[in-house]
Amino acid sequence: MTAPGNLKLPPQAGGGAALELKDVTHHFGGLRALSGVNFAVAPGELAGIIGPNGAGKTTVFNLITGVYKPSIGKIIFHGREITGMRSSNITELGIARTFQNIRLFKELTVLDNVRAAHYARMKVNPLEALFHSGRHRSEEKRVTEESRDLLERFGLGGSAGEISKNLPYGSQRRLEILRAAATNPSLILLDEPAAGMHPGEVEQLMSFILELKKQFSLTVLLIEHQMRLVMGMCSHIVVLDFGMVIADGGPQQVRSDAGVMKAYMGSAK
Amino acid sequence: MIYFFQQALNAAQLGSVYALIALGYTMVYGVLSMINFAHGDFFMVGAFLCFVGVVVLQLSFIPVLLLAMAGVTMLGVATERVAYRPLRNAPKASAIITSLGVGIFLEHFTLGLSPYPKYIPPVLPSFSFNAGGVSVSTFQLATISISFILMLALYLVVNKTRVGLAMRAISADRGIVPLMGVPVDKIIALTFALGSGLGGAAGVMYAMAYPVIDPYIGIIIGWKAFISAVIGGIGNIRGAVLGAYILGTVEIMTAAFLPSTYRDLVAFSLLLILLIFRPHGLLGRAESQKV
Repeated sequence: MTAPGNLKLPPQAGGGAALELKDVTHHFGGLRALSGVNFAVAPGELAGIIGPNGAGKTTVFNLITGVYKPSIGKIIFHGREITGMRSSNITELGIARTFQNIRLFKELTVLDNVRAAHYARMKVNPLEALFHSGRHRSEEKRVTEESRDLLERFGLGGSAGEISKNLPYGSQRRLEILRAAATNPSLILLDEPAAGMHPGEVEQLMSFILELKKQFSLTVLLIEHQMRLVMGMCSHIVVLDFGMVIADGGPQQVRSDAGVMKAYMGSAK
Repeated sequence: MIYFFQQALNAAQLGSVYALIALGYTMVYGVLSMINFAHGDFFMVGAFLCFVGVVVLQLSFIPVLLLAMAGVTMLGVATERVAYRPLRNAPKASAIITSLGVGIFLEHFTLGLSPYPKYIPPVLPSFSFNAGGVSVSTFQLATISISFILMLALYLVVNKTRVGLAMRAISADRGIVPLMGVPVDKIIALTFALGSGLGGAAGVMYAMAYPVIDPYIGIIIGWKAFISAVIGGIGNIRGAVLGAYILGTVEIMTAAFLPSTYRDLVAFSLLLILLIFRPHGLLGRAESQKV
């Protein structure tokens, strides 16, 4: 996989954190969804965001990926400020994501879903594509091969030609994650990857994510409700409640935090 | 029987013109879920560019065709940029009403430049040859074959190139396409370019068959092409072509075997009946493959 030109930053660039949120506040009209959120994710880390419903977890993802622009604060990716940049540029810099409710291109094939995600890395201009130049054709061929190979390696090779909405639920989840990986990110954001899965599937998903992380040298930030998954996988956990970070640390530290207990159980035991 | 085949040829000619225009409606609907009602007027501008090419610039057929396609392509891209893009996130009705406004603007802008109907002399050597009793004119041959080539080219772009893949992806879920690194605005502009270019070509084809043009020809032809797209299932490319040939056939055959005043009555009745039984059109499903 080649890096898409000079936009792409190597995982270690800037020396410091892979991702840093500095005093990020976001309002929806009069509703304050996030207030003064600060946290950082180190390169190569597998970090998790947890918190009750409505705590602002998905809003954090939407701000990082440029779906919203934060009202106040800065988002820094490998030392470079990305606050307010366009989604497609943020994708090019190397951040990819999945969604809480799976959002595949439902009517396209499994293969086309992954091929579409290669867009950021293809260097052919639209006119060339229209006239189907030789360079374009070889580019297309390379992308198709890479996409097939990716599906092959992660157990979806047999479904490449299927319309993606016809896949079983668990496979749709995995396809969405693979599609994100196909944009060649250094940071991947997973929004409740285990939602709606039974314990056996969660187990499989965990090893799937770890394998992907290893093969692509990814930094992973995930939102999850399944405590087993978060505590079992994440070395770093950020707890959000009512739009504020109430705890930030390792699993042990977070588990024993009084504020976290209060947010989850209603009182400090 | 010869009479029937003669009419079938006429139907193929009319259907080809409808198909080229219907593709513009269906492609824009596919990526934006919006009906561009100015598209019929884009077609009209194509017919007027045909006049400019033939009469003013005295060009031959292929340059005239390229002029009309290029001119209408630019018109389509400019309209999208100026009139539709600012409304991308406004309620759907705003963009649709804007498109009606753009259409009326184009009609009257053209009327301002050309207050009287224009006659376009034949741009191709006008002769017919006999194929088993059926008389085939050079215009018919040119219309049918060029439409076929353009539609084949469009099919290849949509299904075989990454630009086409991006269009299909936008059609499936526009919201997440930027997260694939796809420049959505560029792809939407390109979709307008393709659809408008085909509309421009249709203008030339139409002007060859009906050489007296005025600024209002785009209204009824535009409606018919729009109906073709709806019959086939709007948003569906193959559906638009199928619907266009069906409508062309119904119109020509009605005129051939019934009093010709029944033509539009039969055509529009067909639409109403079809929509009762197939509200998403012939090839459209509630979630069909769009663009």
